[in-house]
Amino acid sequence: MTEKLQFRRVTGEHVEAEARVDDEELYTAKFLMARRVWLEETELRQHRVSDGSQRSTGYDRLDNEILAGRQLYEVAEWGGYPPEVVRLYGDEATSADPYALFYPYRGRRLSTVGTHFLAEERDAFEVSLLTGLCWLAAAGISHCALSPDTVLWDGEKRQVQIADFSQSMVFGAPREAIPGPSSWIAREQRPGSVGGTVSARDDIWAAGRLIFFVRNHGEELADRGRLAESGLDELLAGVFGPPTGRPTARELLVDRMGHRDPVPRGADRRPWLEEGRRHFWAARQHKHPGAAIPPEAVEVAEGSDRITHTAWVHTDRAAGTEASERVQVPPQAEVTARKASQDKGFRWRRGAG
Amino acid sequence: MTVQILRLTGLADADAEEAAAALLDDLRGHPDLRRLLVLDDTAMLVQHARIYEGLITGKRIQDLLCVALGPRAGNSRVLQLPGNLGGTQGSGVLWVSDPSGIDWRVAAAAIAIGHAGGSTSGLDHLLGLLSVEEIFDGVHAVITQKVPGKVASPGLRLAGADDEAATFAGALAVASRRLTEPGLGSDEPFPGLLPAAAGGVRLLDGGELSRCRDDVIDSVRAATGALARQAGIGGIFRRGYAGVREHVIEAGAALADLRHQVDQLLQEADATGRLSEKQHARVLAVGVQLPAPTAVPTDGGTGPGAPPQSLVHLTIADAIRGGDPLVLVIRRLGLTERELKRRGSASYAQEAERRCPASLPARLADPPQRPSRPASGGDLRDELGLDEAKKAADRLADLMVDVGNREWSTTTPTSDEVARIRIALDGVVKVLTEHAASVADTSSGARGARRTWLGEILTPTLRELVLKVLVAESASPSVGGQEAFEHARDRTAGLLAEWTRDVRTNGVLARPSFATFDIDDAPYADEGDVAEVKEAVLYQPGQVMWQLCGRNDLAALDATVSPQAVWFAPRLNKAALAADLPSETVWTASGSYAGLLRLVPLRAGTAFSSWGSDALAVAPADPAELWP
Repeated sequence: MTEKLQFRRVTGEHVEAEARVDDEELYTAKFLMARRVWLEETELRQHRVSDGSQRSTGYDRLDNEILAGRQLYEVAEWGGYPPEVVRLYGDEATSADPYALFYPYRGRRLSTVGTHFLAEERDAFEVSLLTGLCWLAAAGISHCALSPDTVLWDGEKRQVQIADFSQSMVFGAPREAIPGPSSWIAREQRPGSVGGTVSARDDIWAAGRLIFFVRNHGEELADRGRLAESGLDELLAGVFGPPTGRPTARELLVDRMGHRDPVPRGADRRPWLEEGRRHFWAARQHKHPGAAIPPEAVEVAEGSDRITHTAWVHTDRAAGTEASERVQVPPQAEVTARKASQDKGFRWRRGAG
Repeated sequence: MTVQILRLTGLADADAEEAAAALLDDLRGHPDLRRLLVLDDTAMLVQHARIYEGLITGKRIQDLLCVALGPRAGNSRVLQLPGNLGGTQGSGVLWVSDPSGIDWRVAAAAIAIGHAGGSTSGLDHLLGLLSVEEIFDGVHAVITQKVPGKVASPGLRLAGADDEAATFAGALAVASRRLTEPGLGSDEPFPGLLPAAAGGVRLLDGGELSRCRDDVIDSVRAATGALARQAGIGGIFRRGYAGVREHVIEAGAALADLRHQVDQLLQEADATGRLSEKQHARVLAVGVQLPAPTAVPTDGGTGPGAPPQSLVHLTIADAIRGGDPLVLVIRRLGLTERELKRRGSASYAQEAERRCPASLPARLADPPQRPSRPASGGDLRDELGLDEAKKAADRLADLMVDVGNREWSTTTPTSDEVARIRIALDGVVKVLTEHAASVADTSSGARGARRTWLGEILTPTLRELVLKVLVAESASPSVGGQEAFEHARDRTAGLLAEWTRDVRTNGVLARPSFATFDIDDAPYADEGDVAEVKEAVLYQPGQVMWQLCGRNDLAALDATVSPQAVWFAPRLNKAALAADLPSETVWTASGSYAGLLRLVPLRAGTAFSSWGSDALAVAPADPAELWP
């Protein structure tokens, strides 16, 4: 089966191409669905929003994947993309049926292969996982949902691949509750106890548990006393405490394990990255008026003329129709209006002027 | 070898002809047509004469049996057959004039009683029976050699026996569940694999380290002796104390030397993998004796009875053969693995300091010029640190043996070696668990009892299969953990498939190629099950049976002679039944039946087999049938 795809490459250019598609469903994040597509000989994964009553959640999750993918691309430089994180190929983010295109994932979920590690592989796993988190930190992103189901292991290359950025958030944004089992979600992200802002110290909690999981042949950490038995008490000291006192992935990798920082110095502060980040915030505000953004980005966001518009179009994506109604919403009412619209199954999209 | 079935019933002539020709031509799809069972309409047999001729002269069929379905053509009292069927030269024909059949005793005066059958028709049972090679051969032999005119009406007496393949699959599931059940038992590492037991390291007498330790001990002993002598002559005097002091200083120097040797060796022989040649030489040079490495299997673990030689394999084989559930073995291997992680000898520097603080040799090297106060020999020994020096020397020596066992010995299993076996076992367990889950857990009734009995018998052999997989992993270790898992999974599935094939050919109790001993072939002795089979097989063939014949066709059967019969029973029960059943009993490897198939011949003149179309019209009538 073939389908015509029109999308924006992560490199910026627009592409219109005939794609061969395979309707077999691949495993992917909740509220999303994934399938294989081929652009000529290039195999990709296409992520789309699942049908159903939770479609608006699916849109948000797909947006998170796209925005994280773009930001990682920006920070990683051309040709130097880290294999430890999944790689965005392109996206179509604005239509009624948006999608993201990723390069094929490598490896198998830790929930399947977490018991099959030799000592050397375990060492490689720990280094590779922390390397991936260093790159995420450089991109200013917290994955927020690391678990044996979202981290893959490529036994042949001895590399981790962090997948599923559907619940990722940017550093500085107010934390949101992450649904899921408490074994993999830190207290500050659990429904009922959520608080504070996302930081580079958030993901290390679940990463520490993954390290324990692999060291102990698939056993989940139930008692911190087990860390010493596994020889992890020094490496993971402070990892399971309150977020402010946790080490970052870089601190674990460089200071405690003696490895080099995988992210080139200044990679996260390059001028073009600043520009990219500004676009990132603008795009986020454009797509999610009123969505959480970090305090330091407020100025940037407020300075963008694209987000000071008050004319909005809401589009019924589920029905596949564009622009069904245009309404004027003052900035202070954006959040309420957007939510009310989503509750009705509509999706907001900024209109022109 | 299989029995092929060609269904011509209900087909138009041309279609029937085409079906037969297609079967003959299909060498790829149906490579073996030696046994052919043709299901045809009784009334169409003559019209299909050309088809039978084609089949028989087609050079592909060795034995042909025809099941003729339905009443005779028209109102004829004659069963007309083409020349290739029945008669003196044709193939055997089983005439099923009514597939539902009746209950009937072979006697001219016997009446027909409706058969209270289940959902399976008599014809289906018959076809099921004749699809079993052994029964096909038995029926073919009897009908062509013992039944006049080679045409008979079949009658059935069946006992619900299990299909051998199904019984084996069920028994294997029982054995798999037994091996993979959650393990209760000692949750601790395998002591024999731990460094202290497996390392084999010792300090060579006369080696550098032993000499240093002995020097410390000798000096301490000399100092202690001198102290004792002084105490014996009435107190520690300055002149006598000078001699003691000299020995203490010697002990301090020897201990400093020992500590130095230990520190240097820990640093120089630091490696988390194998020692380099230089490091190895250094370890030997100071008198740490390392055992020679043990041999590993060289045949790739593929030959039957390959001797497992690695320590890990021997230990695991003992545990598994001893009945430890695989899940427990996996857990214990995980705990063992953790104890075997090599940290490098340099990481023991702190431990050396704990065992012999650097301050101790310094203190011994500079003992007080005179005793601080008048003291007994024992007090002074403490003050001088003599006992401490001896203990420190012993502790350092012990540390070197510990470190040698943990870090340098080649006979101590590596954590990766143990991990590979653990992961491989995980792969085995996955396959066995999936197999067990794929077979319904039938634990009640005769069938359940039979499977449980056989499962018990097969369990030791299944354990051998597991060990075979582990030997293969030991012999050619996988590069990574995932590979070890996948190899083990594939090898297990392969060996199970091979075993299933062996069973199909040689029966459930045949020894599979990987087993190192014969399967215990104690006969199955479930009384109820055996009795049911025995009763069905020993049934008198003339008594009431399920005759696949219509009420109106009974008159065509010859009730004046004893019917021929073919007895059959599952090979699974052979040991328990062989002595009691007729010697002609056909023992079947597959098929869901035990019992008896009787073949009632037709009355003389009822069946007429002819090569020419002219002869068909003048088939002789049997006077007895025309004027009963």
